[in-house]
Amino acid sequence: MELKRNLKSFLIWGSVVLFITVFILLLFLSFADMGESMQVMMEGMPEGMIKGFGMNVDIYTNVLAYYSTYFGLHIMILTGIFAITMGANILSKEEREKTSEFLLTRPISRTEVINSKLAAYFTLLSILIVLQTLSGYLTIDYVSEAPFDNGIFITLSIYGTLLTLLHGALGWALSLIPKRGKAITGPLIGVVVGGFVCSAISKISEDSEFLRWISPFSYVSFDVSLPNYSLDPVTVIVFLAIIAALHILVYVSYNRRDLDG
Amino acid sequence: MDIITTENLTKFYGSERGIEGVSINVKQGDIFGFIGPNGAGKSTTIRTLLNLIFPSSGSSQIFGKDTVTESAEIKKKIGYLPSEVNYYDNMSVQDLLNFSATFFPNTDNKYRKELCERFALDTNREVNELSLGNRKKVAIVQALMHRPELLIMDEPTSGLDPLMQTEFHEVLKKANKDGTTLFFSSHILGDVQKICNRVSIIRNGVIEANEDIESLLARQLKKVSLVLNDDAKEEQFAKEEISKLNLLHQRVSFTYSESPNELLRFIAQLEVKDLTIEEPTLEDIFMHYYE
Repeated sequence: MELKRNLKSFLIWGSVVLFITVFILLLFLSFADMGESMQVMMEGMPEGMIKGFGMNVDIYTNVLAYYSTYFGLHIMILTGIFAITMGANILSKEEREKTSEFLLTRPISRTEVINSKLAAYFTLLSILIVLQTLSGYLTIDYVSEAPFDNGIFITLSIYGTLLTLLHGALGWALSLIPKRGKAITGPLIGVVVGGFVCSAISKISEDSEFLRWISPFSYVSFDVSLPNYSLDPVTVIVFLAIIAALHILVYVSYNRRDLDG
Repeated sequence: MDIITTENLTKFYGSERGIEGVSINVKQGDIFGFIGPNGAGKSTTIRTLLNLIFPSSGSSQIFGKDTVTESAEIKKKIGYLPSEVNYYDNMSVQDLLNFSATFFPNTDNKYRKELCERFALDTNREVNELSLGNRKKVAIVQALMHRPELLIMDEPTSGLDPLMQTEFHEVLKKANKDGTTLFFSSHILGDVQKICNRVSIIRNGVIEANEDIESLLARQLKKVSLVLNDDAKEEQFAKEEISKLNLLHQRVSFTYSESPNELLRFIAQLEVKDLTIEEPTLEDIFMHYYE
């Protein structure tokens, strides 16, 4: 039921994300042909710009560096927006369209309502993440001439998944704030894009270091050119803890919430 | 047996009063009318009973179970007919009824079909393409098809044409005979008078009266119309038991709230050309409470 209701938006977002993953990686083939000259061009770019967009200097010669740049920017913003809007809408849509009155007068508890919504949400989001990761891996495998480091790819994917789940959890939590009748898609996209921009600015200028703290993008690194690029267990645990806490908050708050009438 | 009891049920929205100190009591087999003007707190009470909103203080029980902590359990045996019917997009009447039936294992499919036919519902149509009245009919079938022990209705007849209202009243009476307790809110007193056996009157969030319909109607309230020999003077009628006084030359009408004996003695001292004494309608009694 819930799956069916969200299928359309899922198909649209899913195909966009997959298309971008594959298309961008295939583009690498032509960049790689240009090899040296692209490298020279990159070196000529202002350092701030390169840092801000999370680019690597060897972006056009190393496929993982190339993938990580687009993964950390395009894919993360897209999946982030998908997760945050789905998380925010799946519950609040019922209130906005006043169908929650129907749903909550059935013999089910509010906890059960969230359980079923959450199950649908995780199902769709997992499919999206798995497909994206799989298509990314296969395409990299296809375009890369030399063998590449699986560990780095896995680390990237785990960080990406955590960031996406965090955005989704933020969506769930934020959806319980406004009163019915207000669509919140605009502000939600703002949260994701704004988060990215804050993180980007903070990397460019030391004065805006404080922006770093408020952006979830700052806490995961997509810079695979770092010498010891690997999964940081503390980051993973903190992310998981925050995601879990936000979901618990949703359960607690929805169970105490007055339905608008 | 008590089906619904509320004790000092109170709901504030911030500092704004929804209801305060509402205590009502609905017994098994009742057809209970909950009447009051718009904004009196009828819907707030109903929404609290259904745990769509949480009480600020006080408590309520349905079937002896707490409406906050045991709400899901209670709802197994409840049917609810909302005042404003909102359903999901892209669902036919049939889809919607099937969806609702998944929540109620005891749905009576034969009864469901009978109700659809009775209300002349085209079950293949999309719910959201239906007129207000037809959507209301879907809601009626949805609320009744699992033969609930208690049917809660918020302004049930709004949107139904008079013919369907009569049909609906018949269905309700039958359901009541078959064991369903009925609780409904209304500002249309005709409804209440036609089928209720007990009523509560609510105004400004506070219960004004809990009564049997019989005793409410039997209250010492008479509608009196007189034609006098001479022009009527206001001071002649300046008495505490007289209300809603209307004077036009020799014609006088008023509502009288003392014993019939007193009324006769009062009229006897006037020079009366014509006289009519009527039973009050619920409307009159209602107005009397709201003066």
